[in-house]
Amino acid sequence: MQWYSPNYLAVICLATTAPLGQVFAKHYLSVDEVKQVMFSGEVFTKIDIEVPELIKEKMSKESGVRHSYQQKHIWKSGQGSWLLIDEVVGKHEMITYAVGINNKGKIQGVEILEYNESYGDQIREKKWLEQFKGKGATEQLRFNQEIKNITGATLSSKHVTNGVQRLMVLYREYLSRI
Amino acid sequence: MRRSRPMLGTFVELWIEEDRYTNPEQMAFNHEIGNVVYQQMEKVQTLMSSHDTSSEIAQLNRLSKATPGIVCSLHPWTYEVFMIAQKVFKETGGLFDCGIGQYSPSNTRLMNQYQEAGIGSIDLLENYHIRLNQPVHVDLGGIAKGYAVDRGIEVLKNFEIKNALINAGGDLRIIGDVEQSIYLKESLHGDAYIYMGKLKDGAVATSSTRFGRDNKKGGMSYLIHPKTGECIEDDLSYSVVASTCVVADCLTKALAIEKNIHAPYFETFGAIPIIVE
Repeated sequence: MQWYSPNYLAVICLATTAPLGQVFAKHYLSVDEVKQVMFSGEVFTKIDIEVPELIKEKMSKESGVRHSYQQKHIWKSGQGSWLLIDEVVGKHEMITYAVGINNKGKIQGVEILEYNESYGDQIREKKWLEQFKGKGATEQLRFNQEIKNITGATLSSKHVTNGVQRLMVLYREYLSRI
Repeated sequence: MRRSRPMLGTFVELWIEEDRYTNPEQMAFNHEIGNVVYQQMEKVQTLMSSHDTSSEIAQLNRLSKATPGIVCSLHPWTYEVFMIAQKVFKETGGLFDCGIGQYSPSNTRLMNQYQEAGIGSIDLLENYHIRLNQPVHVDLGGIAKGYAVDRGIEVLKNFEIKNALINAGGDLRIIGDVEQSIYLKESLHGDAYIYMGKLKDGAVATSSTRFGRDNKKGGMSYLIHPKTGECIEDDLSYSVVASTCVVADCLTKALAIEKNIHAPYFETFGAIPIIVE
């Protein structure tokens, strides 16, 4: 184990400072990749259907997801598996995720495709910049461009759990019957 | 390869290093390895959940109340977690105690109902057996996530993956010879990301009393002093760097309670405490 810290003291103080807008995105899998990860070897066809309003209402009611369902991606394989891609919106984040349903109607897997976080005015500018002092712009650039290794906040995955629930309502009430 | 799955109540990120020399077959194989990593971590969740009434832990809690002195067998992983938990319990003088789950904020009504003993009252016997001497309420919430990360890392090592990382909602571990920048998210509501340092071949975990409560709803911190039952309520963040994620995870609780970066147990475990205020 090796730990290199710019803070020689084990206690780091944060002063209240001015805000700075900050948005970052984490990209994990593409739609093609998620097909391979969940259903290796199966060939999927995009299904263009209009989900009836009645079904959408049921999805919202049963899952508690208020944000409207966009039905961007519904895919079906020759073997009868489904791949549904959806988005959920939280207070500070928008998450694109995929749910795979096998031909027995069971969840094959849930994967996050993208995680977009936006904190608008809540990141503190001065301290934010100060932490990169002596490290040049490289470290800040890396923060802005790379996927971050973040400790501290245990982000809740409840939104996604509710989202999975709404897609399962879509499958049960509509897709499995067409 | 980077993936993320909702699991353990949070998002579990997995990174396996790939470069321009990694061929498509290896990339596909890495995804298969990733699936195994997630399966193993899910197994930890199933075994050690306190909320699932059919889990091994829930059964054990019931048995300890119904039949004190009973000997029962555990899954080897649960047994290993008990061994680690007892070691940290002893070294920290009882500051880390995952046997007092009755003090959890959602369970305050039970606080005085049972005079339950802590994890130290359980005897660890041979062949993954334990003796429950007194009524306990084991809650592995403060240790299982770190252990799950370590199990996932074991899978990666078994497949001879060189450079990789698993981050289970802030409890993370890195293997290999690459240094990775670690940032601390200072508040759930996005106040700041703090550059903490670079980590190579080790783990870091963080406990913060800020994230566990919701002031608007009058909620309480999820960190409880094991000896007094009081909630730890302050606006600090407690991180520990250690060689394994399970130890880092446990020691953040002792650090949050005692707030002593010079406590001898950090040296015992070769760990580094960090408080952000």
